[in-house]
Amino acid sequence: MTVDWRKYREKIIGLGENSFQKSYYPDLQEKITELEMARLYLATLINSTSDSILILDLNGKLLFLNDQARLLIKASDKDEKEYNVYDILSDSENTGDISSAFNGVLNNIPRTIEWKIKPLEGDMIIPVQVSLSKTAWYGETAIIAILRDFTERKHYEEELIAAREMAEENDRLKSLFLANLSHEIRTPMNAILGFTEILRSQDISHEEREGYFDIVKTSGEHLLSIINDIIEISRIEAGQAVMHASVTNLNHLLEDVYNSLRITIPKEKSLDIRLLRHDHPPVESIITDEVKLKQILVNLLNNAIKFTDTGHITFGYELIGDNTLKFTVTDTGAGIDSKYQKIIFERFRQADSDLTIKKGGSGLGLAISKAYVELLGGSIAVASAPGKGSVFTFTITFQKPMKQYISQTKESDTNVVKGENEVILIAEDDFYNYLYIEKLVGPNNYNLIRACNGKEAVDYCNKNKNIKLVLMDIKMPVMNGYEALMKIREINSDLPVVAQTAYALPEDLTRIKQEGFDGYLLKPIRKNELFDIIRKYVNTDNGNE
Amino acid sequence: MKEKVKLELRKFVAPEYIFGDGARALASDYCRKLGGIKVCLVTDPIVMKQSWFSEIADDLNLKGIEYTVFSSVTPNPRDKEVMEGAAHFNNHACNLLLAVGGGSVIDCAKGIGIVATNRDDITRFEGVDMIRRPLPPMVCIPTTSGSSADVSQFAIINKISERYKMAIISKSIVPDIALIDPYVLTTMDSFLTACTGIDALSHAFEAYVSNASSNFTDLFALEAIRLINDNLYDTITTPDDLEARGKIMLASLYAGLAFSNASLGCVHSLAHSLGGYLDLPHGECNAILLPHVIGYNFYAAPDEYTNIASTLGIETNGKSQTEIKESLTQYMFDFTHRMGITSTLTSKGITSEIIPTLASKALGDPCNATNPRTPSQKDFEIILSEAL
Repeated sequence: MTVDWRKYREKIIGLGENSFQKSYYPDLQEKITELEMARLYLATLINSTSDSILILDLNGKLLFLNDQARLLIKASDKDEKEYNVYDILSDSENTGDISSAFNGVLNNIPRTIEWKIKPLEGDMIIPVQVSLSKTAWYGETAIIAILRDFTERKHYEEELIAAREMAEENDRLKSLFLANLSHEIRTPMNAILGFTEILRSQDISHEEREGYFDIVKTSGEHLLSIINDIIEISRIEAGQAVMHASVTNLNHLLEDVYNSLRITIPKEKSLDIRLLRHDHPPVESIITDEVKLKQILVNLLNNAIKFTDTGHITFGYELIGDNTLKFTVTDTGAGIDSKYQKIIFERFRQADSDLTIKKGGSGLGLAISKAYVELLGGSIAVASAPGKGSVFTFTITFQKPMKQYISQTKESDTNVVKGENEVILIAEDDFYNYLYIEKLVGPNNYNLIRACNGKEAVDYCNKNKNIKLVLMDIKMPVMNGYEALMKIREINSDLPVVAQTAYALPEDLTRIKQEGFDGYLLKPIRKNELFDIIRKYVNTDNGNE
Repeated sequence: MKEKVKLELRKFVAPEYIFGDGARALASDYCRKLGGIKVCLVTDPIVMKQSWFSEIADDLNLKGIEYTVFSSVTPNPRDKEVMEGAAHFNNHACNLLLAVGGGSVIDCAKGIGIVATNRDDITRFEGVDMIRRPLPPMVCIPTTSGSSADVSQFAIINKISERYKMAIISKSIVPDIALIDPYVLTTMDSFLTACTGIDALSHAFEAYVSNASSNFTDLFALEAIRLINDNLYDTITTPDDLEARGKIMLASLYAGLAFSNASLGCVHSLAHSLGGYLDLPHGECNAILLPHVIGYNFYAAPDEYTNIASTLGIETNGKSQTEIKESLTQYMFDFTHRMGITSTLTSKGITSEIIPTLASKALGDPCNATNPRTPSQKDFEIILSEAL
């Protein structure tokens, strides 16, 4: 032995290296360190989870809570060991259910149930999903309860239930709507088909014939408006309804509405309609979506006419604020019960479903109006009481044009223009549609050529240099209108080509413009619009105007 | 005596211990408390013959604690015995050590515990803090009033191949519980009583003069010296006097607590060398060497030795250091003789030829680390020569 023990003195008396450690065993010390780290990691994990973890003894006494659980039951400065699980459960929980759940768990049947937690402080009730399992805590059998705050999910669940109920309601309403719609379509259709049949017979007077024609025309227009409504509500529902802003002369617009609706009041009603004019209009031109604004007013006024038998309807506007207009439509009609006032703006709703049958209408007018008002940056409201009439008000926000807008609106001249045998090419695959144009235009001294598709139209343009105007249908067999236009432009870039189409959606019209058509006519074609086009492109320099 | 407080950092480690008549009866309860399923009862053939031993064993049976006895332990326990004991422990799937015996038995049990869990040859653990894994729980019932291995961090194992006693020092071999019962001492013969008593006295001496002594070890050391000085003779002359036995048992405990924490000195390094080389009784070696080491150390710790002298009742007032040294060495010489230990190294068969060997083996003993004077080969040779 040559060890010099003197250098071990400090170790012998327990003051050497490692003497400050809890153990004299280096291995053990490492293990203790590892265990301590593991304990820390575990504690971090247990306390980092968003779930609350509770350990309960078999009587429900709280033995352990993780941080989340302490937060949940608001036990921050309390000793959880003084509490029982029943102390943190809502009074609505059935203790029998809980002890039977515990028994199940103790028989090794883990359970997932719902509890309502009532924290130790406050009156809040927190719905939680609870997973119960058997465990051991310091050598004793215990129950581990993992609680997941259900508030959010409960909220979603409630939303889902509400959404389902709404969907079911919508479904019911749609069925009702379809029933109404069917009725609505059948009514004018019945008139059209019925009177068309009557018109065939020879033994009716000229006046009767004119009257029946009026009925057929009115019914057709009514049908068209219903179809337009359906298309529009579909677009609104699909989120495709967008604002097309343009400079609008507000006072002209109101006058137009007034003039066009005044004449629609049925003769049997003692009802007049008044436009509240301003002596000095506060605004002249505004930038808004003219079509939609007009539609809102027309819808409200149509409703007023429909539901008012005697008295009067007034409408007008006022300026509130720099860029907000408030429109009012007042009637002395049936009025609307307060319980219906909210739902009348919902799709497919009317105050009284039975009334729809009596009064007609798709039940979409107000829904469309509301959607339009919102698109125009405003809101719509109604004040009404049964028997007291109704006041519909809506606001829109607008911008003022940069410079004074000079009205370019031409008064439509319904006077028919006479031609001098100018050649007009009608590209139209549908014979009746062609016949309609021929009947309107032919007798007025124009020379019409019909092309049954785009290719024929192009051929005609190639062969006949006298063609002054092309009325081009868009959807045609062999070659569509767009393609035909392109070919024609190659032949003669100056030849006016006007689209005539049943595609009435704004994006269709945008495309028509983009493709280079000189203008468009929407089907069903109105006589005055047709002659406006002819005047513009054919009779430009003769003296017929 | 001027009181002084030592402000140098010191630590004190002691096991849980129960002192008193009947402490031995708690063995089974403590075995159970410490998780004993199968107890390895380490003892020696002489202890096994005592009536109180069978009481302890019977109590284990009564409490339903299984046990197996390992008794192949000789005085100055050998490395081979430790390895056998460890094999016994593991073969019987034991999980707790109950040592009933003197220093040899308890040191052997410590060795068995070390090997049982650390699974290596006992010689690998020689030195300080060489044990990496904790021992199985260990309950000790000391049956001699000298070694105090039941409270100490020392285990002395005879490394037969090199004929020296290796010291294993580690806080991890401090037993878990010591049941210190003076009753078991009543069956010791007078020579063993004398040897172990002198062993305890030399523990107290060496702890008190140790350069690692502390306020608490001093307290225990001086009280141990006083108790042994006053009562050892009585226990030899009236072996059945339980009160006298109790006092010596207490003295041994105090001395044990003192040396376990302050460590020892050259008496023990030389005694380990002698015991290992010639297999001499440890207490007897201490008794022979103590006066000679006092002479060698005195001037390195004159105040401490003076305090000891006063405690022993030697007149120190107005005496020179040399006078006190002479008085003290003479007192100790007379004391050991009075206790019946009259041998010298020569009478134990030591010759001057083997002194250099013994001295060199003693030089490698860890007890030298805390001796007040750092010994050299030459120093040891002189001390041994004087003790011939």
